[in-house]
Amino acid sequence: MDFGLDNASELIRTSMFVLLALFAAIFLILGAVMKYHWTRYGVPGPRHRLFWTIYFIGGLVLLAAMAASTIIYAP
Amino acid sequence: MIDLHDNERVVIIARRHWFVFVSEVITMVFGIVPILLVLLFSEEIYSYGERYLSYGEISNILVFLGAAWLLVLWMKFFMAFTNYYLDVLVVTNQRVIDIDQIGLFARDIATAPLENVQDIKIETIGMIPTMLRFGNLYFQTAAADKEIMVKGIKNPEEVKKRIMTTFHAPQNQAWEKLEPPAQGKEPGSPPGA
Repeated sequence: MDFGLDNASELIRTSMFVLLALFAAIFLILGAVMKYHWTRYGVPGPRHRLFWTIYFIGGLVLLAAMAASTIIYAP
Repeated sequence: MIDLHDNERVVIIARRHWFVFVSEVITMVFGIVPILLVLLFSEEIYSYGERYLSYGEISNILVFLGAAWLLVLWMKFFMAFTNYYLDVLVVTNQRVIDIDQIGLFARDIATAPLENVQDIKIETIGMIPTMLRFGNLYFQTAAADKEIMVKGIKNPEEVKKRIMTTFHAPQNQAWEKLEPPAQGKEPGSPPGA
């Protein structure tokens, strides 16, 4: 008996792609907004670059993990 | 950060105490609990999930959801840090400026000329604020119903002391010297009295 598992897998796969794109967009927009705030409202000197680098590297690692699991999941 | 007037100089820049930020981060650490629960019950999750999906597929989904959840926490941490870092009390030799960052898209900036500050109240409630020396500062100003409140500021006594010192500094009392009371007259008596 077919429970529509192929459809379920397809749905999961599509959801993962959509969620990955959504998270990447939110991450980048939020990063840009925060960078604007740090630069505009008083984080002095090169410190805002350090904040941005830490934020970006940490987020990128997590996004890479999400992307890898999405790609591996896709047959 | 702020545009200063002519002859205006910054006397104090005070931020919230680090403990205020750390207490926010501690609540975020509890966000890791769902991931720990998944690790704890992984055998049950796999045995149930393998009815429908392969072992590898379940692993991929769990890694994906775990990374997504950690990314949410990571962004939340930086938003909290931005809110903490951009909440500043600036005292110049002319005015008090309280900059309150509310989320990422709202900023509340309250300004009061130094001579309008009528009273400064310090509020330290609880054991940890007392031990770590932080608390709330309230500036009562001459404007009706206007009170500036600065929450969780570090070393409020010192901030108050420096504001008082600044207010009573000779260069800020020039207005008193412009119109000295005439000989034999009470200060404030009407002209010709």
